[in-house]
Amino acid sequence: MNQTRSLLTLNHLSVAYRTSRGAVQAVQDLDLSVPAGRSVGLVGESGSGKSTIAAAILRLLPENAAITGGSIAFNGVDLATLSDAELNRTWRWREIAMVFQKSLAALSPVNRIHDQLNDILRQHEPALREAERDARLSDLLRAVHLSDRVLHSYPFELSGGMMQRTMIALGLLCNPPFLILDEATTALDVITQAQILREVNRLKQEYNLTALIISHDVGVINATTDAVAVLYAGQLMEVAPKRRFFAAPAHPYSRALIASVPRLSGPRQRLAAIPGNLPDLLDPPPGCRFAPRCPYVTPRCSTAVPPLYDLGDGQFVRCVLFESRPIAHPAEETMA
Amino acid sequence: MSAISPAPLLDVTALRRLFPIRRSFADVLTRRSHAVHAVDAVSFTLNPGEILALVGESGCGKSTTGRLIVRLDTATSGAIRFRGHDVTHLGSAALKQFRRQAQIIFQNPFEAFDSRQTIAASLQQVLHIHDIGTQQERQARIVAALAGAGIVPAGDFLSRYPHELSGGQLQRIATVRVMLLEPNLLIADEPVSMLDVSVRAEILNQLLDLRGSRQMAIVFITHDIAVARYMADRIAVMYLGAFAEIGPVDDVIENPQHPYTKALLSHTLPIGDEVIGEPLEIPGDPPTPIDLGVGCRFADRCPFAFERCRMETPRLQPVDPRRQVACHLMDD
Repeated sequence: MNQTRSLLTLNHLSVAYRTSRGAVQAVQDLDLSVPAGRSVGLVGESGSGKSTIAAAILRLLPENAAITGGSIAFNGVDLATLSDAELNRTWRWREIAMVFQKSLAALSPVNRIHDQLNDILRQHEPALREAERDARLSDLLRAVHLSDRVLHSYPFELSGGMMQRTMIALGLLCNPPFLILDEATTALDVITQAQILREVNRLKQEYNLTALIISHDVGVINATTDAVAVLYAGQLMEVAPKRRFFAAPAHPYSRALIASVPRLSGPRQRLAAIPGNLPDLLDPPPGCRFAPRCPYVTPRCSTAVPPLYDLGDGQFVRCVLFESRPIAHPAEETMA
Repeated sequence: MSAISPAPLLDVTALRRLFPIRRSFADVLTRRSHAVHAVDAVSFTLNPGEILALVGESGCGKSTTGRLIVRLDTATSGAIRFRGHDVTHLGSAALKQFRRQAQIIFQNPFEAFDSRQTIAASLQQVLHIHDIGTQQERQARIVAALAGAGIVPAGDFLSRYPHELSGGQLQRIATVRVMLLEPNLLIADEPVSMLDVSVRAEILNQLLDLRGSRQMAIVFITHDIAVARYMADRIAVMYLGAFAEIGPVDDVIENPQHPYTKALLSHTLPIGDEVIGEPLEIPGDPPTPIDLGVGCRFADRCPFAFERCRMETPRLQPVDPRRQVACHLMDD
């Protein structure tokens, strides 16, 4: 990533869940920056902490979870220190909007789409008149390729694709500069997913959006991002420009992840599975959390969490295989 | 087909499954009835050791087709022949015999196991139902099967309950469980779509190995064409309950003939610098296949549709000896 100003910077962010069996550190000491106008992908499997990060940014964590360290700098303000009321008044929807996988649950089943969107808009933009609000709603629906008919529908009357388009329109309602898509197209069919992702890319240009795109699917990440951050069991394993990530992934986990996905072209060679399972996060392995499944594991992997090494050209990797490289200080870089 | 072809293991002819829809009062008065055409005139054959992928979007009828084949559901019409015997309407005793040879695994392994049973009990039960071996022989067979699938030490897993295992581990055990019966045919209904990417490959490779070592045929049901390419010898693309096209994997993927196949392939997300090409745009979502009239069921969304497409239902016709396509464009 070049010298673009960072809009969102996570510094040493840690998030933990309290469970009946003890504390789970779901996100461990995470540094990540999202430059203005770019889109960064967070890729990882279940238990990687990717959705926890999104929830932490907007403080939508469940009751038993809490930010246990670090900061969330958005435009220079640490969101982690704000009250819920402050977040609601100025940040959620107006500055940062989010689209989830199961968005049907976010809307009331007994009110028409129009009434619900209109209510949200009235609350966040009280200065707008009725006619202006209606015009905004129509414009937004057109932007996501939906007809006005959708406004007069109830959520259950919409197909999955129409529903996710509606939620993207809802996300753009207050013209936020930052959009988080958390597995937003995961439940959709192939064709609908591809169409919506292309629309997201177009909207990013049109509305000059900065985006954080969270997915387990490297195809989705490839289609929508400029840079990729790889998470495993709560640890950030690698950050790289997208093309670099796919052409020359450095971390053994990144390599394994890409190698395990079947493709539509090229030789049909046997897929390499990653043996083993995700570690128990109640009792995670010390040091690198991927070590128990890593083909290159050394005794040192378990002594301490390796630092991020700077491979140049915006690629950083948390792995002792690269210890001849300089240690990166991504947080300091972006806090300037 | 030709005389040198082996006898097919499975021969499905004009398979139909209609789900009646509740009639309104007006329908009763006018004596009308409505039905969802979930599977509509599906025909294909499968050879021993062959893998056929059924590919399509949700609601296309691929899972219903799989359930019909192993008789978890009964066809409205049509015939399913297994090793030459008609199994479409078997009674319970014959059905049990058939099920020993034709098994199914599902998307969600947690739903496939009784949560109150240990893995050992669950595996034992399968052999018990089919009266295979003594208690001791069963135990030995189970341990050997787990070891064969790389699930070692087996003892670690046998005493556990399903919720103590990960989705990937449980799906591998679900596969071992059906393999205890040494079936000749397996229906695999989206077996990896719920699993994490890193464990998917393990399940897929396990199935490929079983095909290799046991000559087991597989009907592999998936929404993901890249997974179908990895697994299958042939692909059948389904749309609204019918085959749009069927043929060898590489032919269908590299040279799709049906416009729906083209749309589906061109919307697959590339990995890295893979080149997929310009997407073939089709408007709207697939409708629910209620009371289909005449005409191609894809005509309303097809960019190449012409008059005949709305007048006459295209039939699956050979475009070469191994390839069949249901599209009027093929006649030009």
